[in-house]
Amino acid sequence: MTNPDQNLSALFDALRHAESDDSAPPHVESAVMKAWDASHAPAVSSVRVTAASWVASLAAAAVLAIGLTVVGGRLRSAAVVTPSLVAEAPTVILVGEPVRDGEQIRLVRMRMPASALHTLGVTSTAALQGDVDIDVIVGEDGVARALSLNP
Amino acid sequence: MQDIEVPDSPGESDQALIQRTAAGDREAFATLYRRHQGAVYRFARLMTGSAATAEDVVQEVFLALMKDAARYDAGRAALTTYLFGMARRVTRRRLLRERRFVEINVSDGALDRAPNASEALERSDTLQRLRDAILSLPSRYREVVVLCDLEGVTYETAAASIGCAIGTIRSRLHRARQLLATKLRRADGRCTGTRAVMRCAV
Repeated sequence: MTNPDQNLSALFDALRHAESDDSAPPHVESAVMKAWDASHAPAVSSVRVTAASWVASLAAAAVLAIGLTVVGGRLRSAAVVTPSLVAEAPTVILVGEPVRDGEQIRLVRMRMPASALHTLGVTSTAALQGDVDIDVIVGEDGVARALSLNP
Repeated sequence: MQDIEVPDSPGESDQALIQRTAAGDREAFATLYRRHQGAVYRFARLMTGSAATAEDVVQEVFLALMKDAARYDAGRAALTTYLFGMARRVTRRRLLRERRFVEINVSDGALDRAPNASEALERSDTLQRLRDAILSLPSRYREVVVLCDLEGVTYETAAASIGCAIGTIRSRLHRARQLLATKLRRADGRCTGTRAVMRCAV
């Protein structure tokens, strides 16, 4: 009777010998090397993208800074003007039906010459010169509900 | 895709190749792949019984190596330890996910090497029974048999790959061999019985 361990060892040897040349097929190597290429080639382009992003960010920051400076200047000048305007209460003209409870409204802000308003029939601003800021409250049906004139 | 050119440096150590890989050397990585993919593939295929799964495991293991090359510390473990450890983790994850084995369908070359056809057929059957028996082992026994008995990995490397003591490897290997011997005896008995019936029928 043969030793079972020896039999097993012989079988292991045979299996090892039979499978010694087994390896992953070539397409696996292709896939792995493609992954290598993908992970290394885009590294260069990602640097470029990053550099481009930096340039874009800097440009955006510059535009934002300039914009904020301009807006800030206007707000400061508006703040100077405001006290004189506060004295002049805006003129509210109700047109059409009043705003219904729960109605979705939109506020349209525009600036137009006072003379144009007079032409349109708004006589309360007849004495005004120059441009007038107008806030128009528009209802869900698209019809104006009210006008607020800020001379 | 570029052609893969393996440098003419068969004796270059794994550590040197890893360092070159970490530095972005494509050829070094290709050399490492060609040097070790066979062992990873065989391990994964014997563990799962599926050539397709083994291919996925090889791919996943070497992609991990590609990413970890810069962090790989040769002083802590040999590359084979790292690769088998990674292959083991990926394989176990796949087995847990799939929870099924696919039958191995490979040519072991026995038919070509055997002196006559009947001997070759019998040998091929025997090897297939061995594969089936290995596949039917619990994974903790299966992995030590594949690593130590089939891939020729040392107990130390197997212990480092699996993350257990060398004594555990020894005891699992002992138990695995007992189980295999029992399974093969049963399989042989069934096979002998079948052959006897066939001879009687003829």
